[in-house]
Amino acid sequence: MWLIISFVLGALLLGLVMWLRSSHVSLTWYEWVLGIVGLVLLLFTVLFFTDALGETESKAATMFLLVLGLPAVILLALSWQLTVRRIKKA
Amino acid sequence: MSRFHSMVSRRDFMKAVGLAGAGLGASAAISPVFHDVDEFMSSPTAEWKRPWYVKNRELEDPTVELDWSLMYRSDGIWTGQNNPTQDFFLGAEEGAKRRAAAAAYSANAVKTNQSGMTLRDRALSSGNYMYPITFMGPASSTTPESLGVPKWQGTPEENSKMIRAAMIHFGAAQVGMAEITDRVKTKLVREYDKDFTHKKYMFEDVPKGYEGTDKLVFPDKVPLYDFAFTHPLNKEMFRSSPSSDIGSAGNSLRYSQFSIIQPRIQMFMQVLGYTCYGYTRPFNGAIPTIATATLTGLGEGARNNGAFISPEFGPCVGLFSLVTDLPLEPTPPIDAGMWRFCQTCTKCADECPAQCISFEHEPTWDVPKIYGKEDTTHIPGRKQFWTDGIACWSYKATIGGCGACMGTCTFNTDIANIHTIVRATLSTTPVFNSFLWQADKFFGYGVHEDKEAWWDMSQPTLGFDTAHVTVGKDY
Repeated sequence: MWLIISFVLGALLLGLVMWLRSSHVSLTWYEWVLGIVGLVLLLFTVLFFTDALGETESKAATMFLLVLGLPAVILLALSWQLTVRRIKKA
Repeated sequence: MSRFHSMVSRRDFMKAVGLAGAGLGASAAISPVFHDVDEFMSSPTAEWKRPWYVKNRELEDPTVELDWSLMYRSDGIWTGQNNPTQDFFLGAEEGAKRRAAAAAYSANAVKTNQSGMTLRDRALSSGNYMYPITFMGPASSTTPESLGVPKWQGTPEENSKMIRAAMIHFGAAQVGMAEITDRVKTKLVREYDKDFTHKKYMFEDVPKGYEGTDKLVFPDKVPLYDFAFTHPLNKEMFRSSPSSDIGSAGNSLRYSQFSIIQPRIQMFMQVLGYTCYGYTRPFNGAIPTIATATLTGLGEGARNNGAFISPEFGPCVGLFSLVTDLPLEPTPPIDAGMWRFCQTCTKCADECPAQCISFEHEPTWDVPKIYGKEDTTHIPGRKQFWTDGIACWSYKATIGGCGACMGTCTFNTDIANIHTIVRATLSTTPVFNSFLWQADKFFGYGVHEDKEAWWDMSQPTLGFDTAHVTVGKDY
C-alpha cells in the first residue's frame, strides 16, 4: 500500500511543481507550511486508520479520522484556498 | 532556466566521493569485526534485542523500590487462589457461599449458551491439558558420562546465550537470569511450596538437590542461578474478560505449555551435565515469578501487583522461573517508564469488577489490612500498590472468571505503529502520561463486548507473535 501511496504522492508533487512553474506562481512560506503539515497529518491518518482497522479497533480507527484526518483536510484546503484566492486577487 | 545537463562539476563529484569514502572508513573503524560465529555469539551485540527506549538499571534495583530488610520467605499457600486462605479472611461460611455461587454461575452459563461461556468456549479452555511435572524432572538416559565426554563448560555469558536460545526453541519468548545469592535464598525463595502437599524448600549440604517426602531440597554449597522466562498470552482473549472461558483458555495455555517446556529444559540440562530444579505443578515455583521476572529485567511491576508488564508484550504474559546449577550471567532490571505510568493510570482499577485494585497515585510500603486482618498474602518490602488478592480470586470465580485488568490495560495493545510511539513517549516523557491514559480510553481500546468474535479472528500461533523477540519490536 505504501508503495502505491509513494508513487501517487510523488506524481502529485511533481504535478504541483510543474504547474507552479508553468503558471509562474510561487507559494508563500505559510502556504507551504500549511500544505506540508496537512500532508504529514494525512499520511499519519492513513497509517493509523489502516493499522487500527487491522487490529479490529473500529472506534480507534474512526477517532483517528476525526482527530488527525479532519485537521489534515482543513489544513490542505486552507493552503489551497489561500493560494487560489491570492492568484485571483493578483 | 531549464537544466538539461548535470550541474555537478568534476571537482564537486570528487569531493562527494572523498566524503563518502571517509564516512565508510569511519563506520568500518568503529564497527565490531567478527571472525567467526563463536566470536559473534560472545559479543554484546548478540544479546537479546529490545526496543530502544528500554533502559537497563543496576542489578537488584528495579523501578518498584525494594527494602530487602522487610522481606521474608513466603509460604506458597498464602495466596488468594487458595480456598483455606480465602476462608481465613472471609470466614468459612462466606467462602463456601462464594464457591457455590461460582459453580452455579459456571454451570448455568454453559447451559444458557452465554456469550464467552458456550460449549465451544468451555471446550477450548478444557483443552489446555497439563502433563504431570516434577521438581527433579524426568531422568535422561543420555548424559556426558554415557557419551564419554566431560560436562559442558562455558562462561556464564556463553551459558546465558545458550539457555536463551534453547528456551526460545522449547517455547519461551524472553529469558532473564539471576544469581541465587544469600539474600535471594533468605528473602525470595519460598519457604513452603504452593502445592497441597505443602513441601518445605530447604538448602542442604548435598552435591545435588532432591525431592523428599516432605521437602524440596537445593544444594546449599553449590552456586545456583535462576532463569525467568515469559510465555506471552493471547491479548484478544483477555479482552473478552470478564465472564469468559475464552479468556480462561488464553490464560491457562501457559500452564499447558509450561508442563512440556519444563521437562524439555530439564532433559537439556541433564545432557549437558547440570541440574534444573523445576516446579512441582505448573503453578508452583520456588521463587515468586513477578519478583524474579522484574529482577531479571523481563519487565516492570504494575498497578495491580498481581500482574506484570513486559515492554514488548504488555501485561498478558505468563511468567515462570527455574533454578539451575549451570553458571549464568545476571541480567539487570529495566526501566521502560511503565511502572511510572501505572502511578498515573487507573484503567485496570476502573475496570475491575471486584474493585480490588488500588486507586491511589502514590505507592506505599505499608500493606493495608484486609477484612480487619493483617494481609498475609503479601510480603512487604516493596513500595507499590497493594491488590486485595482475596477479593480478586473469590469474586472472579462467581462471575465466570476475569482477567479484565490485563485485558483493558493501556499496554495490552497490538502491532499498530501508534502503540510504539506511545510507549516510546511515555518512557522518555512522563509529562504526557495523564494525556496518554485519557487518550487510550478516548480511542476505545480495552475489553470488547463481542466475546465470540475471537473465533473469527486471525490469531498468531500460541497467541503471540514470536518474531517480535528476534527483531526487538514491541507488541
